[in-house]
Amino acid sequence: MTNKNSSENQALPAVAGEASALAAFQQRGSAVQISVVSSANRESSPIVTLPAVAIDEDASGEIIHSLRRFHLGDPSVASSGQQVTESLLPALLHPYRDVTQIRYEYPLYLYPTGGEENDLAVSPLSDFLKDSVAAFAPGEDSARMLKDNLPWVERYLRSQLLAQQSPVDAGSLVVEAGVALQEQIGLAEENREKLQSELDSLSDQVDKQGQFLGYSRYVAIHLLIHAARHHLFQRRLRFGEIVSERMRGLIDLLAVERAKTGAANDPDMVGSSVGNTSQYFDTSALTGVMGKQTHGSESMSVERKQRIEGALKTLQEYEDDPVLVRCVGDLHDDGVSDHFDQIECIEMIHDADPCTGAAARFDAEVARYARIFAAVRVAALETEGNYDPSVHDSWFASFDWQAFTTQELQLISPLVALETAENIAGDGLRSFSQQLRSGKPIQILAWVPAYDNPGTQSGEDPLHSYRIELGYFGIGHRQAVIVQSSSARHEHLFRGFVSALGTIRTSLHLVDSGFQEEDLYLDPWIVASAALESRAHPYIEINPTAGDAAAERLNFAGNPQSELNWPVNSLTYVDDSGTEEVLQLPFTFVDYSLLIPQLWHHFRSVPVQCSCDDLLPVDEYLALPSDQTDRCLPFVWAVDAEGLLSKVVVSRALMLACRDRLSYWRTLQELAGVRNRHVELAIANVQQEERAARDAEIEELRQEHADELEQVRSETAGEVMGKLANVLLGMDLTSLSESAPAAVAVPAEEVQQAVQPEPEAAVAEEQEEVISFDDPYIDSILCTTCDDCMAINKLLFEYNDNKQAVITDPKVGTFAQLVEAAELCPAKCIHPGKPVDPNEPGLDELIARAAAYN
Amino acid sequence: MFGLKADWSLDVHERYFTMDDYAGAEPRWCTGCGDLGILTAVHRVCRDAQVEPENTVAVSGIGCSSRLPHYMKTYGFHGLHGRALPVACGIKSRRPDLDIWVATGDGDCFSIGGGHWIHSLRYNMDLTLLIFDNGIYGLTKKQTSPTTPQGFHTNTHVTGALLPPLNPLTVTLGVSNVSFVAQTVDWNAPLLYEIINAAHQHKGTSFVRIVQRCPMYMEQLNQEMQDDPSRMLLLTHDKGVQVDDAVVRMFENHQEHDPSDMAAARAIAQDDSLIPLGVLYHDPDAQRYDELTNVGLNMPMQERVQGLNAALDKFAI
Repeated sequence: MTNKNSSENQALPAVAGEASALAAFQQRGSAVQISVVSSANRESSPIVTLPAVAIDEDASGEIIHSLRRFHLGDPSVASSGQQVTESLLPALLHPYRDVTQIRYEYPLYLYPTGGEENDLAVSPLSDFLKDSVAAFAPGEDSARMLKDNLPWVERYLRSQLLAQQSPVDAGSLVVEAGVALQEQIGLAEENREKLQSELDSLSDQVDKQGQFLGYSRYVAIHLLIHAARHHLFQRRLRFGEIVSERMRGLIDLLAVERAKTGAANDPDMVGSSVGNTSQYFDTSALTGVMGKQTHGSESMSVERKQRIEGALKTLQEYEDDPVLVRCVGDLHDDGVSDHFDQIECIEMIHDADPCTGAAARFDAEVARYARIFAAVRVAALETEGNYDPSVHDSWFASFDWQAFTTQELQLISPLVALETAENIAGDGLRSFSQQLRSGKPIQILAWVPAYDNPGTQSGEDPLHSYRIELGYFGIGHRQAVIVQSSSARHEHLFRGFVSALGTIRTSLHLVDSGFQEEDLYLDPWIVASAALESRAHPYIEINPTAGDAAAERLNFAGNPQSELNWPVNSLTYVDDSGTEEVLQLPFTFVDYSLLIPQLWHHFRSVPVQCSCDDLLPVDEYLALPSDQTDRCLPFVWAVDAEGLLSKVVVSRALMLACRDRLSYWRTLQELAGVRNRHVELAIANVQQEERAARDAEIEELRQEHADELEQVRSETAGEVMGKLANVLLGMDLTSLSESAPAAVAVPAEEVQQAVQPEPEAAVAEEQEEVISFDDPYIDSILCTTCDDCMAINKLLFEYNDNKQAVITDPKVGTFAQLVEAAELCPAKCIHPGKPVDPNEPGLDELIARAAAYN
Repeated sequence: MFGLKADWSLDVHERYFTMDDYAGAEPRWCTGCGDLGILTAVHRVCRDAQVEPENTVAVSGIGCSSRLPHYMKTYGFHGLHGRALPVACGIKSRRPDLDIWVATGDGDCFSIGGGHWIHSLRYNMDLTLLIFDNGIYGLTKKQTSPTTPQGFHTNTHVTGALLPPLNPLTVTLGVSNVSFVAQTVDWNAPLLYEIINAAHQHKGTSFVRIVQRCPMYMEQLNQEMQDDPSRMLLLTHDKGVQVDDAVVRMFENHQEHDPSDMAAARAIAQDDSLIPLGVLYHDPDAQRYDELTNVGLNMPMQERVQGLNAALDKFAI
């Protein structure tokens, strides 16, 4: 994109210094404007403008010189030039400044548990609303008023959920939104009632336990809780049934044992054994007759009885764990612990070393569960008579979590180590690595700001050193589940949690939420989205159970345009001549950095009037060999709040960081098998070999053809020359014509047959299915509102929301009226069907008349 | 991009209008009159576009069709015979923010209003012009109108109309700077709606001729067309109106016609063997007179006074 010279092109006054040159440019910058239309959704996108002012070569040279010094890190120009401000955004993000005008995937609707494991658990608000309305009002015109106002309801719900840190009851909020909508649009009574009925139907679609979850700093942990709730519900239900069954088995065993003793002859036991009929005779008398003798069966050993009673007691004491998730952490600084202390279903355990603390708590939890699981197994062995003390006593004596089955491990409430990137990349690195190696099924959840370098000291520029990639660090541990995802993508988060809970491995979740210490100009959701888009925080999901090859283990599909270095999107703008142009813009790590206040000192704005061939887009700069970038000034396109489009030059330090991120991205691509260098070389080799073989074959064929051609030429020439010689030698000339090949005579019939087109395949005419309906109906969409049918019977016909006729109830009119209306209807959209009343007079004639309209 | 879907923009109307919000008095048109369907289509278009009733004006001349402003709960002007368009143009020139509908009939527009018709088309101000063409003067009880078929018996030509009828499409397409020309019939509600909707969205004068039934005085005029859809020709094109396949199948004859092709439009209009339905011509870039007359409308009073003084000072002695 180049700046257009305006008609006001004239020499600038001579300026002494850079500041005065800038000031002069700024002053002139407001003179002429070019309309620029933004990118994704042009109808919805705000218009941005670009001042088009004359370019002054002398002043440009001075400013470029200063920008070059800034780029190279000259501290003497650190505070000069046009510094960027919070309102300056990467050009592609300009349409999304106002989050209230954006329909993004949050808030979420959290479905309650109760269904099958694979049932939908989470849905974006907009999808949930649309699906809910469609469930009771299919078609475009039903529940029209609600559908028209659904965006308003959606926006209301979004606004109410903006400040919510935790899930809130969905049902009450939907009702509240309905009340607010009614109040807002103030319909007349009849329409108000109709809309209320539609709103009530919408409320009925909301589950009683359904919740809305807005976007917040802690949305990841709430989704983890929700995933755990769905993960545990059916499993615990099934386990509860197993426990009950095992208890019944043990109780039966003990009952049989008791029946072998003399106590079995007590009147109460006798009565219990006999059942209801015991009331008809004297059980004491019967006891007297039976005496106190014991029965002859052999009694179980004392050890066995104690074992059975012990197992039974353990099972009887078993209750579902009311805690869904146990979190271990010490995050008082940003209030995470305090926030989760207030949530009932999670237990917050404070520990300065979350990984170690979680491991210790895991040991305690599994010890508790070991008693229960052992009791279940003992019960199974005892009821089936398979318990062998010589084998099983020692087994159960050392029974621990490593002997648990996968199903048993999945019954334990997840243990979550709440970590910070700073801790696991700093002091907590050892215990973090130790935990990843342990194999204990613990979830390590760490918030990782995508812009930051977790290994740096507090206050240090994150670009001062190369970044530690915690995801790659986790991959190095090979047997752990590693999920690096963004809070902005609930599907990635939720799928990662479900995947991790389904395995019995240590899992690491590295989450970027887009939140920073200070409130940002842009919504954190957009910032987190930009981090994913710019490869600053790529999506990776490593599941070691998925296969042996890296590409099998690594799920990479959540990254936009993952086959490219950077995702590329178009920016449509209108130049000063009114012509629309399209600019393809990559979204790079540098673009993302423009959203981070800590990195603003790595940018300087270029006055729009300033032009220089050395200014190069960042992606093109990165594509050049390093020895050709010496004089280049990399820049990105940015837009300010007023819609002013400008170039922003980037520091060399940020470019190095960008190149480093790109290098890491390429490594991930290779791991995922998306762009593997070896594969690319192999493909190139194969293509080259194929091309060479094809060329050789073509050459061979060409040579063959040439040889054949030459042969035919020589033979023909010889034959012709021979015939010519014969003629010249005085032979009978007629033989020449006779020897010429005669045209083959073809019978006329055959010719005719040949030229005749083949009989066309019998094309079966598409027979429209003849549908006959017994009930009368109207194709309302065709109705012209002519009132003809209304004039016949206003009870039988009425208008719908589009003021087009429908039949109310065929019983409130006669078949004769339906037929008459059908005959009168100009749109012929009334279909009388069959008569409801078989006793209506003149039916035969009416049915015959109706046939034309059915 | 950035995880946003195509419908990322959350556009919300702060107010909501139902069809009732556009419905004025109870229509007095005869039962079975095509005007009723046109009125419903106009209400639907207004509801779907959520235009504000207080910023909408319905203007008409004289005739059955011209009762439309009474049936709109908006501002309205039931004007003089043939003079709907000058009134509408006047409103538009001073209040360009208003949404203006013009309802006029074949007699009102093509006869006494003929001059205004021609020049309004050339001015191309942003109006939605609906011609209710029933081929007769209905309100005044069956007199010959410009589009009455030749030979049709009326109260002014009891032995039958003497002359061939006017072809409004060829006339309209002959006017320079015309920007939107469409034709439809009142008894096909989906097509009627789509065409009126397209006309309403067009920025400029949208001329829509609606071939319409009069159950009292021209009962048989369009009956043949209703009974025999093969007499009509549906114009289809990506740049035209899009209707459901079921509606397309109602018509036996279809023709792909690019509405930006004026020569083709004129040829279609000239051919009277079939009644063309759809958008014949559309030029969204035609010059609009209202954009020229609107200049300076928002000028503050002080600047106006200064301008006037400056102008008058030229004559000061």
